[in-house]
Amino acid sequence: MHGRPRKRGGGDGGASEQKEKAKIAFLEPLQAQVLQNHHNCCYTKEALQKNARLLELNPEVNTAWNYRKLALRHLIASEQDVEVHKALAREELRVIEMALARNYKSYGAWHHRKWVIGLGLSLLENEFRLLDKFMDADARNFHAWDYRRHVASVQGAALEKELEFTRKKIYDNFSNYSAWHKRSTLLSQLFKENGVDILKHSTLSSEFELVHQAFFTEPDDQSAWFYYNWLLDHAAAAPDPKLLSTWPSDAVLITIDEQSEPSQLLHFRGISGLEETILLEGVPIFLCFSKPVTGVSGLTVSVQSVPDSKQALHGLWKPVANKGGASNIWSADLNHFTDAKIKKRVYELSYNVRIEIGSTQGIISQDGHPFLGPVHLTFVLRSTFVGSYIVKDDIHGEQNLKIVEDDKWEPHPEQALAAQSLSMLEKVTWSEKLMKEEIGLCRELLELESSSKWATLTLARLLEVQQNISQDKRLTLRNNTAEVLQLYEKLTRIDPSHAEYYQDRHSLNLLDQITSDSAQLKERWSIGLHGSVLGRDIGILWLNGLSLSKLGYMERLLSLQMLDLSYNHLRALDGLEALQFLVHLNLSHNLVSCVHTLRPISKLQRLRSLDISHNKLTGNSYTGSGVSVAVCWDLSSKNRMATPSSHTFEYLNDIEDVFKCMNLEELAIAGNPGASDNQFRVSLLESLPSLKLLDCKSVP
Amino acid sequence: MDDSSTLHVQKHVEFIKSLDNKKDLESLLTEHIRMNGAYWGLTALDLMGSLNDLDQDKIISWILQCQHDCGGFGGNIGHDPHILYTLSAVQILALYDKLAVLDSSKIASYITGLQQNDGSFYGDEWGEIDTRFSYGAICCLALLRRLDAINLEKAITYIVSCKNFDGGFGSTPGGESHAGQIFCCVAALAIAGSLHYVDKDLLGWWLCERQVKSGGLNGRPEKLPDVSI
Repeated sequence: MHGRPRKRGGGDGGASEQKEKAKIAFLEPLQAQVLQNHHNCCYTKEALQKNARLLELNPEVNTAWNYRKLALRHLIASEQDVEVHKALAREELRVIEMALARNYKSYGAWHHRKWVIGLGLSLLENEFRLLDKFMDADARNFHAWDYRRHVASVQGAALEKELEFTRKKIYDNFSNYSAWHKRSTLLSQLFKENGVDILKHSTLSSEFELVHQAFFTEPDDQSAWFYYNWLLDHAAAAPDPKLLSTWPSDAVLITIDEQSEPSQLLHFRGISGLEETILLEGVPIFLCFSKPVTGVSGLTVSVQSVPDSKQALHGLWKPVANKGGASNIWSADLNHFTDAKIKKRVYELSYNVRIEIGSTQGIISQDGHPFLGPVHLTFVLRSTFVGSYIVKDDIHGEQNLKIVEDDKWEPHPEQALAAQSLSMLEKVTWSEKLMKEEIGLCRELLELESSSKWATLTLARLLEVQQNISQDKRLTLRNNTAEVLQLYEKLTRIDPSHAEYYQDRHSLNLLDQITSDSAQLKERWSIGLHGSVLGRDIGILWLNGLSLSKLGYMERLLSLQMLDLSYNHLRALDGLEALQFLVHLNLSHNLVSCVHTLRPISKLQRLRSLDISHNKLTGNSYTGSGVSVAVCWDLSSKNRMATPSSHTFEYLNDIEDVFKCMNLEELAIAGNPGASDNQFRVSLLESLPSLKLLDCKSVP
Repeated sequence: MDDSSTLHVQKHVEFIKSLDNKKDLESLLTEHIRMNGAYWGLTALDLMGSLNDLDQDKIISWILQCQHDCGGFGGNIGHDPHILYTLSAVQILALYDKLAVLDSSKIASYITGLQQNDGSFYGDEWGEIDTRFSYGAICCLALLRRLDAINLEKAITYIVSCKNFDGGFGSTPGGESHAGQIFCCVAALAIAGSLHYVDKDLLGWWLCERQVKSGGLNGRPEKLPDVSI
């Protein structure tokens, strides 16, 4: 059906029309007869022949293939002689071959063959011969590749033999994507079975060898480049989940101002290296992993804090973004101020909190890789009292406190970041030497083919990877970033139809550079007074006007309370869910066009003020037939019984799905196409009962 | 006047309407997938604001005649039931906002019966497995508000097992990535609130590389562009 040119009518004096009429006159009664035989369970030789004739003309009629299976079952049951059975099977295979000659992509024909072979009455070797014929005719026939995979597994063919087959196909034609794909599955399987990680094996070099041949021969052919990209992704990063960042971070001092009950003011040195303040009820802990993980609990994460080491945490570890029970970010509350008795225990003024992540096995990424811990972090909590006052204590009676001298305990903010990256050092599976060789080779190719988009893109990727695996990340970053950004700029020129993708990668590299440089962060930092929290200075990070189309590395900014991302080109907001302390977010003048794009923001429980004005949000267009868009399901039930599963389903629309979990007090939506849509506004107001201001006007 | 920049909506409407009663060879050869064709045609008419140009009652009555005792629908009257035609049937009724004429439980139990232990779905009793059928099952049940009828978690696990090195999805584990299969898998995961299993960046990039210089889209690398993609 695909790839057929359109027929232009007329021109041959009605002869083709006559032919078509004749075909219809033959086919119509044949089809009717075949269906009738099927309904009447008539399995005579004549009936089978008629059926075969139909399938030869039209192999797509699934009911006709079903008939043949029923007929074969019936005939096999009514005959004892195995030779007769084998003959019947042979006849089926012949019919299938005829049908495949008509349409070698017929699902029905291929499945019938699989079914017939499954009866065990035929030789598997013949199948390989047939497959070779089809592969020679079309090396990309995925039906043939799938069928070959099936037969190979039935036969128990060795993976190495199949690997050799793919190599042969690749040498026949470097752009045989199907062969490269097959190679990737075989290698993954091979190493999974042997329990070896693909990247640690010497096979990796020979794979690179093969790829080099391909892209030096045909640099414009994409197949080898896709495969190379896969090799790079795997060579550069081991699949186990990493702890990217935490709040509080390691070696930080948090000073708690006791006076502002019921919440407390926490002071600490933040991302810019400057003093920051957060108003919180209690002290939360956030763990931010590189992939969604499960298994974060009191067993796998031990928290010790003097004076209350027995019950250091208040409650359990919770996933912040529930992705099928897993989450990148997990949070818990320290049992520091929740117990009234502890508050009054004035003889303890400061103490260490020591957290060990991965103290026992159990934290596993969603794709099945265990977290390789343990990772330690220690921070200090210190209470301050201004002036002296009388405190009543059950045990010690009345006590008169004096002003506490704030002795100079200097945490090292640089150390905090560095400490983490050292303790979470990537297991460098690929030597820096090999990396340099690949980069050299790519540069060589680029000299020959300067406008090769694939070589340019791959060089950018190689430089990015080099940053990730280098021992001194910051130095490599500083050396590489300028070139990487230039490469992506070049790509938007030589491959404009994919410009937005290159802009995304450009944005990521820019953010990598900014967020890992405390000098740049300091420059972009200022103190802003936020209206709804009077009398308190909160820091705001300015990432506006950077042409950012995508976000990344937000886990380095965990303590942010105010963020300005206005006047960028943001189309996606993934990553924002990490900023759990965010109170105010400015996303005005961006390119957000779908309500569900805002989902990451719905995880920000402390967000009170959101500006999404002047974006491209349209009204909820899923109206009319009453069919809902979003399905939320609750995986909290640990019921792992067979079938069916016991989740609850909620059928919501996008606006409800995003906004109903939020506690916004201020929202700006002016300048969006949906802003004038009444249904859109009504839906918003219904989902946000706590809203006080919409577009700066009071909400009734 | 530049004709090529205007969509001739009325001509498209007339073409689709003419398919209802066409008796040419093409129609005969595709008689067995009339249910799919009806869904595509009616959706197109709806997009062009002409859904009611065809007789709704006649169509619904025909659809119901395609249903079998097991609950599944065939591609046309007298043709065997299959999950693909069952989906199209339910989709058409959803389009007409007439899902109430269906016995949801019967259809749900038909689909439940097609799910296998590894979470995959048979297309029909004859055992072909393909992620297209996973999509068929999940989409159909979501429309009927009966996602509870299957083991959704296992269905998702199976779909994820069909993920490939390029971020795409194939028909079965190990199957090459193909835009059609990718649509089915990503749609199924989206409906099930499980898009986090998709490597958005990698797949998004692979998909946008399907656009060739002519502006058309192919289904796989080095293949010709195709309107259906």
